[in-house]
Amino acid sequence: MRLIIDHVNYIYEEGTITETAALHDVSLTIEQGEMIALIGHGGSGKSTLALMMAGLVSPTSGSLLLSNHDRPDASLFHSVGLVFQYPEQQMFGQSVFEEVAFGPRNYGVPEDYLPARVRQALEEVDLPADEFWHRSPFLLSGGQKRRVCIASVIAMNPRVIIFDEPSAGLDEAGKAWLSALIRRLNSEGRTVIWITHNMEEAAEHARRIIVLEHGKVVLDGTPQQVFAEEDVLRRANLTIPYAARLVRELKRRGADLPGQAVTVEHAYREILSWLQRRDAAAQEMEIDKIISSDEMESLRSSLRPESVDAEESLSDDEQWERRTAEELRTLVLNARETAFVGPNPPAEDQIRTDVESPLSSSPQPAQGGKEDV
Amino acid sequence: MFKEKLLIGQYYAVASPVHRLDARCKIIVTLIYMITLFIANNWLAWATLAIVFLLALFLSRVPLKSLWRGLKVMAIFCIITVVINIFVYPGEHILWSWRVLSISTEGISHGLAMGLRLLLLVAFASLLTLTTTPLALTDGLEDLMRPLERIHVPAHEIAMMTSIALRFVPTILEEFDHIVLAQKARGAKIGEGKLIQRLMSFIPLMVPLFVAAFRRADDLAQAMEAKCYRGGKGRTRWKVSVWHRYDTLVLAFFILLMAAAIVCRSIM
Repeated sequence: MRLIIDHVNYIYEEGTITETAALHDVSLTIEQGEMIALIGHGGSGKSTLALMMAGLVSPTSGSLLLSNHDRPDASLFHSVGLVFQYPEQQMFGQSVFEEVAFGPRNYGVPEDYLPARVRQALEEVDLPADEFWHRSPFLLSGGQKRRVCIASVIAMNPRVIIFDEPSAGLDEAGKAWLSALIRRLNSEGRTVIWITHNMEEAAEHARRIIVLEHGKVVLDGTPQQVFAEEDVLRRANLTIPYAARLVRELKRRGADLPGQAVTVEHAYREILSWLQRRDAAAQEMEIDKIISSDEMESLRSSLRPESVDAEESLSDDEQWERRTAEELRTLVLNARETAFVGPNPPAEDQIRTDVESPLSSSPQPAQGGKEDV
Repeated sequence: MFKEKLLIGQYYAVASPVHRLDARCKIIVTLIYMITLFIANNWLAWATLAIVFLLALFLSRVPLKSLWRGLKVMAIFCIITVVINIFVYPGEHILWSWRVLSISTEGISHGLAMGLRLLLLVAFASLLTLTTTPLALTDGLEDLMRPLERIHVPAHEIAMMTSIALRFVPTILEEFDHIVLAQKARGAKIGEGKLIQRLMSFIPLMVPLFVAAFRRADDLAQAMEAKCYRGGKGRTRWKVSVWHRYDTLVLAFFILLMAAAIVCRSIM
């Protein structure tokens, strides 16, 4: 199924004092099977666009076409599923079965077929059907509730699934599970539209990123294309993924690497191949040239407690400058050690432990600052 | 959606002489105005009251549009009242009649007066809420009810409950809108079909709404406890309302207006 959004405008509370344009001249074409991240600052129109694609609000002007039919009717929208933000707030069923069966029953799936549908959907979200079947959804844990809600959308067997900030409020394990689920749903041929605040998630999983700002599409392309437009993203109050900042900073400081990576894994590979092209002595020099130990020392002294206040008054970028040098050095040294272990690139899980620890152990300046605004 | 339809006279934030008035003054004045509306019994008095209202509206800088948004539903009610009165009110100068229905000049006059009074009543009351923040309003109510505490009326508690209820009306409406959308996304057909089906279709809306409301109440109770809320005793206010001479003048004006209406009534 193809979704065509053609010059769509949407205005909230038209004709009143609080009239606001939520979408402004949005045109998009989404093919079956795409994996799209929809990103934008709060109030940029992401959720409105999601509601519109699910047929819950109509455009004020412009048109929305599903497949090649130019008259979207209710049954067509049945193939678009929407997982709302905090979906567990809409639960009402007396049992997990009732909750999950609600959607397909509304769509006219005969009672006899419902148990099979529900079982399949619960399996998809890794909940043992027999164990949860009769339990009250209200008594489950937060993560389990989220799974039940996602299952209740999967049970309607949509061709397109829109997730509105699905990882909000989940712990790290929950987020990892969710990413895996979303990738799996996509690999089964479903179109996935993933609304997120998290640039790392977007860079990691999406093959296409659409950026909204004040109801307009400002960027639309592959993660590499989108995150290359630093200025546009900055204007839209968005950051670029940490990994991308890292390789670009290294490149700016003179390291001989492409600086194209947007995911942690690719950044790691770029750094690794940059270092592998040199022998041990040259590596030492190279690293020292880019992040010298003198610089490290001066950074350490500048980050002593008495200068904490001063640091708080620094802008995001200045904070980033200060923290990066140290992190860069740790990361590059880590990478070098791994590079010495053997000529073979490390296995995937090794990459994660090596690279993510320096990244995730320290606060990420850009994001921390932006969230507070 | 539901939100915009239901909010009658939601606070309109501008600076104006009417906004500046003490909430207590505005509450009393509104009551006096309402009483005066029903004391008045001739067109001259009604016209005066209408002019007073328009003056207050002008001074309040509330656009007619915002007022009208809240009045729409009431306006329909007023029109029905006018029409019924015109047809049913007995009069001597009959212009048109058919079986029990008749239109007389007295009927028209009476019907229009009735409609005008109702409209002014609601409009003036919504002007109160349009120009007073819910917080100031409940504080004002609390102050006015304070004398009743001697006969064990829990003035503070009533005011607190009122302000919490008012505070959560928009929140819960917004939540309701959200739940409606979410259930529609799951194919729910709301308010369709036969009576039983129609009633059943509200379960998926009501259960989450109540769950959310209870959760909110719980959170609020905990937050209040965490801030050591112990009822009204010994509690001070951040914004203490001060009664100015200006308030006394406005109050005096409305008392005079009522007195004039009483005199007018006894003369005519």
